[in-house]
Amino acid sequence: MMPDTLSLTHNREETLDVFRAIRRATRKFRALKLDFTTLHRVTPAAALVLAAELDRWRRIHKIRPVVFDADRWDPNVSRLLFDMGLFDLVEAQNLPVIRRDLEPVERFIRYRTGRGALGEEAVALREAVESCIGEGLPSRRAMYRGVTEAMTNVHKHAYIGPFVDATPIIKDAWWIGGGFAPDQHRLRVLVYDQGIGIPATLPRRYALERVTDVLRGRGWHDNDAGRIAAAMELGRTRTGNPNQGRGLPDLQLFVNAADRATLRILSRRGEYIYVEGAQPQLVEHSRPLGGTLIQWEINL
Amino acid sequence: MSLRTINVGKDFHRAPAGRSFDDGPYSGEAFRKRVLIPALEGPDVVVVELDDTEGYGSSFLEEAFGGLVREGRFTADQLKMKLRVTSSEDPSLIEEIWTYIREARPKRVN
Repeated sequence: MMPDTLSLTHNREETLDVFRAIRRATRKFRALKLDFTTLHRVTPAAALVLAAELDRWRRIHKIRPVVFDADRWDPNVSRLLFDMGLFDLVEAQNLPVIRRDLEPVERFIRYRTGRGALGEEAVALREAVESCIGEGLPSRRAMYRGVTEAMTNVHKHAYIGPFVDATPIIKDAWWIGGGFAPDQHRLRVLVYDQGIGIPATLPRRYALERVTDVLRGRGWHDNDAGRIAAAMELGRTRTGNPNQGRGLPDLQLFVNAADRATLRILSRRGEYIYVEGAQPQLVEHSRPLGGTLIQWEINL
Repeated sequence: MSLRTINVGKDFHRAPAGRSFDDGPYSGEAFRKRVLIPALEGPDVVVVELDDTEGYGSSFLEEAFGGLVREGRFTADQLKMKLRVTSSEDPSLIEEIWTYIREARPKRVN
């Protein structure tokens, strides 16, 4: 049974409980039956991770999870999850009527999934974003850069070890999506993978001494959040030019190209929040997310 | 001095992405080996036009251009003579590419 709210910001523990339950069912091949009738709010980030978990279940077990009483769902939730593409992943008993007359607070962008650096998929996401916001995206090239670099990073580094709780993986897979809140002119673009997490890949990419030097030099703890920040710092060019990213720092350029924007990276227990011109905020949570979620939030 | 012009979007792909062949079909390695090196091995100065694409990630650029030096095909000084890079859509890419070329170090051959 779903909680009232699926959100990694406002209801992290219960949201992670849902993902954990799906993963447990995936590992143990237990029947996966989902009750969404109690869900009333969901963020694009939580919806994308949910879609990825259901997609993983479906692709590993070759059957669709079953959802009950879809006609009793909150109509706003039905509309959001339909737009996200969730209904294609599940077998729904009593499919709901999608209320097109409802104007949701946030419009979800249909998720896409793939492996490798697929520029055309990034283009398709950008086109879906522009269709959602009703105009061209001014920082489209920066978005393309960030999304394709995230895809490349997933392919190169994310799946070099088992998932956090040994749930079977779809190797090298990523999921991309987003959401737009018209009243607030707020766009969110998301990339998610089910890899081992940036903090775990860091020691494989950089010598321990360099990692330690950065952590100490910047006063960051040697925890998952600190390691995400260190990974961003170590990826910079020698020139230190903020307009020249290398791999992970490319993710910041989408933020820098917009007037009011935030980059948020959640990986294992760490959360890294970047705003141009400010020191990154680092948060260490008690439980890991499972995989890595990248979110750009742009105020248009 | 004769010039040979390559437009990445028209002569390679409008959505280049990724570093190496196994990252995807239109990677930096693919561009370097299939398009750039054959052109640079000719007698002309090669002009690479970066316009007409969706954009570039650093992995693509570093592999495509830094890889010319790192893989030992050219030195940075040779490329200064043989290569020109242009972009009206995003001129910052030009300096970025030359930074990758300057910073690349040839791989040691065992």
